Amino acid sequence: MTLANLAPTDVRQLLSVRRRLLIGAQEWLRRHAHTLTVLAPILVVTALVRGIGMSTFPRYVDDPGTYLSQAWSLQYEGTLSPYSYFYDHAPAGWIQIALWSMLTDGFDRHDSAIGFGNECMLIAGVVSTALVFALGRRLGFSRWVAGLATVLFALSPLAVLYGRWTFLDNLATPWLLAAFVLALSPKRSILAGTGAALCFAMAALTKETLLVLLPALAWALWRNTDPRNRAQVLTVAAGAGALLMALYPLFALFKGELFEGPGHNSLLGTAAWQLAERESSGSLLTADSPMRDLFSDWLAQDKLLLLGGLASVPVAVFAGRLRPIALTLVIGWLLMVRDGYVPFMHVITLLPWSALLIAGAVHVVAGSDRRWRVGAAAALAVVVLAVAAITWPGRLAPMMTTRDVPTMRAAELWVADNVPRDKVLVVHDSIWVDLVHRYRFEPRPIMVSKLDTDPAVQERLTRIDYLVVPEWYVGNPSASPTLVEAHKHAVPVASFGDGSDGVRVYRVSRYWSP
Amino acid sequence: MRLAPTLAVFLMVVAGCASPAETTLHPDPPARTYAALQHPFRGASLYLDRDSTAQRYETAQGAAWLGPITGTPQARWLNSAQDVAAVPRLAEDARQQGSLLVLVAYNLPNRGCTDHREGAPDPEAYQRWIGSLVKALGGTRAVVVMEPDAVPADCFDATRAATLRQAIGTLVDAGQYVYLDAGHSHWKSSGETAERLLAAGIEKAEGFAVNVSNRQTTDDSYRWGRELSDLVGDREFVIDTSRNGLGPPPDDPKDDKEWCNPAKQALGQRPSTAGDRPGLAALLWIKRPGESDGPCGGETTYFFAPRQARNLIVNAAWVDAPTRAAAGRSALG
Repeated sequence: MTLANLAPTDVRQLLSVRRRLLIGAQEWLRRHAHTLTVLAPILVVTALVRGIGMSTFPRYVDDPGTYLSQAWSLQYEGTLSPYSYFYDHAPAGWIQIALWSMLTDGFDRHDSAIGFGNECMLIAGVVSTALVFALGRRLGFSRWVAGLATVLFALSPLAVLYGRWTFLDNLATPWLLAAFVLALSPKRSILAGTGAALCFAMAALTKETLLVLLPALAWALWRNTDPRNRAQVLTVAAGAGALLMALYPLFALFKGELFEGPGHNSLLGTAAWQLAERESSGSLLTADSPMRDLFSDWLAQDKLLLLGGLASVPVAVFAGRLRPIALTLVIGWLLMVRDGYVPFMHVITLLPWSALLIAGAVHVVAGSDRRWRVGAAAALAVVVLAVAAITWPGRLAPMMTTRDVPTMRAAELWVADNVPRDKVLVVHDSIWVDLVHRYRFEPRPIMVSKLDTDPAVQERLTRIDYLVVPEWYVGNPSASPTLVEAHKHAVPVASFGDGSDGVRVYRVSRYWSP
Repeated sequence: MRLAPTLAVFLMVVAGCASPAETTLHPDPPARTYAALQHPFRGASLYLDRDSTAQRYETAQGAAWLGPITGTPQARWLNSAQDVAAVPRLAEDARQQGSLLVLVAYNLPNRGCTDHREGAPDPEAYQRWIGSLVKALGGTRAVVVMEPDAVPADCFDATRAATLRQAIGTLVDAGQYVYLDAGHSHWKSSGETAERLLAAGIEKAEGFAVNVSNRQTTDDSYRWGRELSDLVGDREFVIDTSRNGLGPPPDDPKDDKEWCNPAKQALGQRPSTAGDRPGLAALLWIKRPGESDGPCGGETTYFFAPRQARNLIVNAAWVDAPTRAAAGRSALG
């Protein structure tokens, strides 16, 4: 074989690997130069705004601690939870955290588990931000309009705040966005459709409540498929997605924990509890409902993204491609008025779609290339950005500049310095991993969320020496009766911060037993 | 996956910005320091006051059956300025006998939480009163049980805590042994009581008193006292066993007659300074048996009431049978 006989593409094979990579990278950069000039600065700013100050803001809440303890347990003990796994959430979220930790030694690299969780959320946030851009492009937005959606999603104080907490929703968002990106693939191939279904299954395995968004994804996929191969694409995609999703109930079945029964947790039992028995948060339409209070808290962080997104829903009438996106957002809002349980972090599910619809409004106004419409669209975009520029910095600044250590972290450090390692501690979930992994308390501290809910904990409970929980726990008998009882036989030995989020370390009398 | 290289760069930038956390929040309260314990009861004999109402009744009426009460050392209550006037004689008496005098300071402003005319008119007057007590005791070192019910009461607040803290300081600095009343095992929880005792300056006191004027059993009082002692730097405690021989009357929320001069009650264990259980300084008779709980249960005053004394003796397990029979037969004058 001589050089002359080779096809041009084969010439590359003669080059060194390094040279080939270099050429490939150059080509990639050339092809995406425009995208990168818009997206790269946004991603840099996103990483900075979300990353700077994340170790001191916001305060520690319990769910991140629970998920991180489960990721820790997976890595170091090979089980899905340090306690009896309760099926309260599908496990893909902390499996991903555990994988990242196994790859990068996450729990040892940081001086607190929450710090490691923050890093995971930062990565997920940046990836989601890039995917919002990609999805904007797939919806037909110009780079600048897609950039607008990306900025709104990335830098809204609401998104930064909730995006910093280690919530499963933050890990599910990239999968969900990826599912839509693939569902709207211009190739309309079976592969893209299957990818969309698999990503959606991952999203649902990360946060099972996202299953309610299935109609929106299915609609997007349906709209984007060619009638000639629609049946094949949908069948294969649905089959693949269902198969991946089925792993979860199959896992439960394998463990004999799918169906309810005496003496063990069950997937269906927990699902019934989640769906039917959890205390309702009330409807958004009812004044003084917990839902309304939560909503007010969200609005206090940012009105623009939430209300702007809702106000932009009607633009879907003018742009068919936006309709599944609008449906996603509408489902999210309907959950808030249905008078059922709405979790604290539900807002995370609303944010990317709100950003895309606001940008979608700009896109629709721009319409064809007529000059006056482009001008009007630009004016709209400028107004949106101006509102953001006026209202956001004041909210973002404290998130990035607070230097006070979170009260729970301060309490944790005090405990590590002052409490003998063999004492029995009941602790807030957020510091459990650190006390076990870093400070080696033995016997292991008891997570306050498990104190009264895990029968195995109650069975083994013979003594409690210290309590390390936020103040609101001890005054709230419904939180944990055993904790409230222990508190009656204890004195504070150190306190950090004031009010219900203040943390007091209590020492329980040696002569009391639960 | 196109993003991977860019991402890595951003993460490095962010990691570079992060600095090690600084603990800006310092714990409050700071670690407490407790005064060294003096153990005043160790090897001490308790002072027996022969000049009591019960003694005068016994002498006047020839009521020898009152012996179990009049022959047992009891605390002396100081409820007012006039009561302090008797202290120099008691102090002198106790010193000559070489026995330990136990006093009860019960004159805190608004001591019952319902009437500001009860107790000293204000915190300043109270401190002056404590000062007069110190003076009256002179060089005699006595045990002072501080202010029954003041700590567990609902009207306990920062002012009351500060008043008690100052008074404890004055007494301890003058060499007196202070036991701050903590309530009893079925009132406030040990945790809440501990917080209040700490607020009121227990670190400087010798310890606390349990079950004063109440009828909880000694075992239950000890269990509660031990729990509490662990929460307040292992301060020791005394238990009032004057009237707990039958334990607490049945708890009937509709009827509070039961706790006030109940029909069924008995003298408890005799005072003991053996301190034979960890944390326990002494068993004392702090409430004077036979004194009425107030206008209830057939009584009209707070003073000595022979019928109450008789009930206590008749039911007391440790009193010999002839004395109990004599008490039962006695016609009350």
